[in-house]
Amino acid sequence: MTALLSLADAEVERRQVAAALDHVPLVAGGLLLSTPPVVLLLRDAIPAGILHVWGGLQVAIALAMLGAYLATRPREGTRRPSDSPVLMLPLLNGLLGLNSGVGFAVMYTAHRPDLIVFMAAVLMVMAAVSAGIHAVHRPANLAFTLTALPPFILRLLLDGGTYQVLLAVSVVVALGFFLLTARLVERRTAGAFRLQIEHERLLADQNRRADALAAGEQRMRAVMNAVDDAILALDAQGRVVEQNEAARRLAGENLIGQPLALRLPAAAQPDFAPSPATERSFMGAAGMQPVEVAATPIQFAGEPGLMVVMRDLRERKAQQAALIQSSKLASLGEIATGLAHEINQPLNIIRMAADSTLLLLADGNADNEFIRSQLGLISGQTVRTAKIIEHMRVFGRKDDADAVTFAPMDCVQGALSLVAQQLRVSDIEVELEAALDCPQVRGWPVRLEQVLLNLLNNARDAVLARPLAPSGRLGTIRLAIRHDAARNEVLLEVGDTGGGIDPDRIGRVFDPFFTTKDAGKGTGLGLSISYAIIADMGGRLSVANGPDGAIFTIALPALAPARKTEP
Amino acid sequence: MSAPCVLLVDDEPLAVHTMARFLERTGFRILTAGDGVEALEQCRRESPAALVTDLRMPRGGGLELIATVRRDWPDMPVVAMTGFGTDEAERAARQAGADAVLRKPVAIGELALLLKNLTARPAP
Repeated sequence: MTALLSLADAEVERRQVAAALDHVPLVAGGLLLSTPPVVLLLRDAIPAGILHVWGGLQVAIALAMLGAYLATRPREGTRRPSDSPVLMLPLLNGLLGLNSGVGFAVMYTAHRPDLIVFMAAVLMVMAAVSAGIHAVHRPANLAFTLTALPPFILRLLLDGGTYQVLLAVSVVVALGFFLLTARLVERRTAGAFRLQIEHERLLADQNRRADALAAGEQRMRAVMNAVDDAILALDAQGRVVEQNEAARRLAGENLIGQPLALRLPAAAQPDFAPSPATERSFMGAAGMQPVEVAATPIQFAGEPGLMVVMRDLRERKAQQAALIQSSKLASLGEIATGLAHEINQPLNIIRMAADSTLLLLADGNADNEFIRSQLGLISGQTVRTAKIIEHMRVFGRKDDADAVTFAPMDCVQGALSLVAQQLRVSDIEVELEAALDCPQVRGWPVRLEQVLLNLLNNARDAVLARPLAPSGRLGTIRLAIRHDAARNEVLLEVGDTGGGIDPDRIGRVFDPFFTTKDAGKGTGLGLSISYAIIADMGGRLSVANGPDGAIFTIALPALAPARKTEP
Repeated sequence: MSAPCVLLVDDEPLAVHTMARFLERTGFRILTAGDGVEALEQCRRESPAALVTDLRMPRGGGLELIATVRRDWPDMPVVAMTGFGTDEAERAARQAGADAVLRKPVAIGELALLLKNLTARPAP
């Protein structure tokens, strides 16, 4: 507090000095104008040498004052307080006072009372001017008054006459009067300066606070505008009072002041807020469109309001549609065409083998060995044909058996036990990552095991088809079983290090007869059948390319989490 | 030039085997290939008298193979086989430049006769 006060006092003094300096031209001008007449009036009684030295000193001091003023004169309207030399003015005023008071005391002529009165008058006028003008800066005023009057008063008293003593007393009274007046003026101006300083400080504070507010507002706005979702704030009547750029884009115009319910009919419903992200219709720039809307009650300076966040669903919908289109099962016609082509392969071999045997027999060109091998070939191809037809039947068939509730981990273990040995000898590593609290699912465990087996075999083929890695180990098959609590689904993942599936073809892997394997290696039916089985169980089979290879994911609806079903 | 050389192309090894077995016994020298790329290598190396190819194959399908052969060996007779059994497949094969198109299952006697005629045709 003391430090603050003294800081403020220092500032007040700087301003006083500045104000005093502002008056310097008046003082110096008065001095320059009054010195020659004074010299003229005194020239009869005082030796010219002394008088000229005195007058010269007065003029020199006046010029020094002017110089000090010019050196520190205000630039661009304001005198910088730091420019104000605190000691300059008291020093010059002291010199002026000494020269005037001591000068007059020296030039004192006892035989000329008129000149003594004149000198006393001049000194008192100067003291009055000093008190009037330099009162704003007390040291400057005192420096003159206390150096100018006492030497002259002393000289009067030394002179000793009644007349002189009376004159001295009146000068002393005047001195006291001037000091008192100056003190009052100084106090008042100091108070005014304090008020001024306080006022300026408040103004600066206010500006700083306004700037900070504006900067904060700009930051908030920049953040809001950087969000892709539309953000709106509504007042209690449901009118938009704030919006971000995404909201403006979505609506195609400024929404401020509009009731949101005009564009988002759901906003008129009583249960609109609070609501989690829900799909709704919004009248946007391009007509009615789907949006995901979340509404949260908020307070604006004590007033109830709503914050509404809307996400444009058009792109997501389009993406979903494209995905469904590209990975959907082939239409019935495509299945028929594929089936025909697939069955024609063994039929072709059967017919060619049979025909060639018949033709060669007719020519007597076929021995028993030839006939036997041809018949073996034919028999093998009929088995192949039957297998294709058997696969196809899975599509249409609804399992007769009732769906049961089971732990998917059992299927994982069942499938693994069938291929583990084979994978080990192939030098393929199997990593199993199983969540302990995995819920149960509903469906047909044997068929799920078939799907897993199929995925494991595919993974194995993918790893085997890849050139040997320098590490020596052929590759890894990663099996994971987890619970996606958010969607309440059990996820079974089968990933391999086989390098993945060509992105152009990944959308077709579930099509019947589509295969990425070498000719004769796969029927191209395994995945489409797996897809159908999982769909029958209410789940999804999907595929994506991971960093090392393809990852097939089976997502099955989870029943209540396993922990909770236990008593 | 007693035994004309025929190149058989199919991604079904057993189909190629069955055809080769018969055609060899009826007076052809047989080359085989499992895909389009392999077939073109054989053409360059052996200059067969005729080409018999399936349409759906890995590594350059049959249509591409037929078009390439038509461009580089304009005089080589080309027989296409298709398992699709549709007019579109047949038309596509003819447009690519096949001299004949057989639908699977192929009558192998017919194929042998066709090849005999095509390879006996005097060079222009």
